[in-house]
Amino acid sequence: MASTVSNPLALIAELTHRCPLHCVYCSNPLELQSRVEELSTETWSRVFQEATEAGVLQADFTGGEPLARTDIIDLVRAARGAGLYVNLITSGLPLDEAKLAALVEAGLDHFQLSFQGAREEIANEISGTRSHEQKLRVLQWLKRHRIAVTLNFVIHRRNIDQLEEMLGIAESSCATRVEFANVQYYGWAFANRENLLPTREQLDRSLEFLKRAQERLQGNSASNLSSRTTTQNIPSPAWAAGAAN
Amino acid sequence: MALDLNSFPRLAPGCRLGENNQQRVLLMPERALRLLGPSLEIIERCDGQHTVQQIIRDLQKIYSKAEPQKVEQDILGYLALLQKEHALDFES
Repeated sequence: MASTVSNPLALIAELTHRCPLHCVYCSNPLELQSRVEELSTETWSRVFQEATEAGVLQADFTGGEPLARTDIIDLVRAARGAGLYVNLITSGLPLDEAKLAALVEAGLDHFQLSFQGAREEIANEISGTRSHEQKLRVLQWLKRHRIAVTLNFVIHRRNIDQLEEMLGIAESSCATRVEFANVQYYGWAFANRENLLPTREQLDRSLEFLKRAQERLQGNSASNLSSRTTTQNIPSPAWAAGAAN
Repeated sequence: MALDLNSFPRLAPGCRLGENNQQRVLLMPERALRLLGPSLEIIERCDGQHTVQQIIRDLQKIYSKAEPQKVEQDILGYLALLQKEHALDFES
């Protein structure tokens, strides 16, 4: 009997498990795949071709940190050349203006930049690196390019009270989309859940804030942000939530 | 907010046409819209060179059997939807 499963539309390409950040909530498996096991440029190019042939529309470049790949520009070119819409899910490190320009020129369509907080001190503490200032620099560089930009704020107990400030950063940037993503409790996040899980009260307050923000954006077509903000509302999985009472 | 008939719609940064399985699609972050018939004809004209008014007139000609008012309404509705999604910019 012939199968009628429809083809997948997106390919999530975990290019590497290397990353210059050391976020306490990282969902990467605790046992990371080493650099020698990463797929080569040629193999990825073949995968992109096969994906398009299978009907895939978009590639999500992620990791670890995809920018850690020295061949990232070739990979963007290969994916775009194969006919895929190219999303880069990144911390913004390591990156300079020239590399960003080269990525755009190679065919990058969408740049999704993560933020670990609204303020430098907390963001750097959570990411275990001096990363916040670089992200703000990247935000400035992005204004000079014609690509889609999304900001992704990773939310947990330590920064869930900064939502208003985070939205402020988004609204003063060139981003058209913002995601407030509750940490998903796998990997390092699960190991650190005692320190990260928001309280029920914090969560309810955050949902209330986001609801009002969405209403405000919906009625304001002058805002740079789409009101279709995506939220992962609930820290998951449910069995991890029990730990925070 | 009513769309300005004299503005020039243009695909927003990071939004572009693609093709898949012989079908035209509008690609944007984490979304894709299949374009068929009128939607394709409208999007193809969102190149920063056609005013909203021109797009309406073009489609009224193509779909000459349809009521012009209805065509105009539907196009304005469709453009407004895409504007809300930030898939289109309107330039003056």
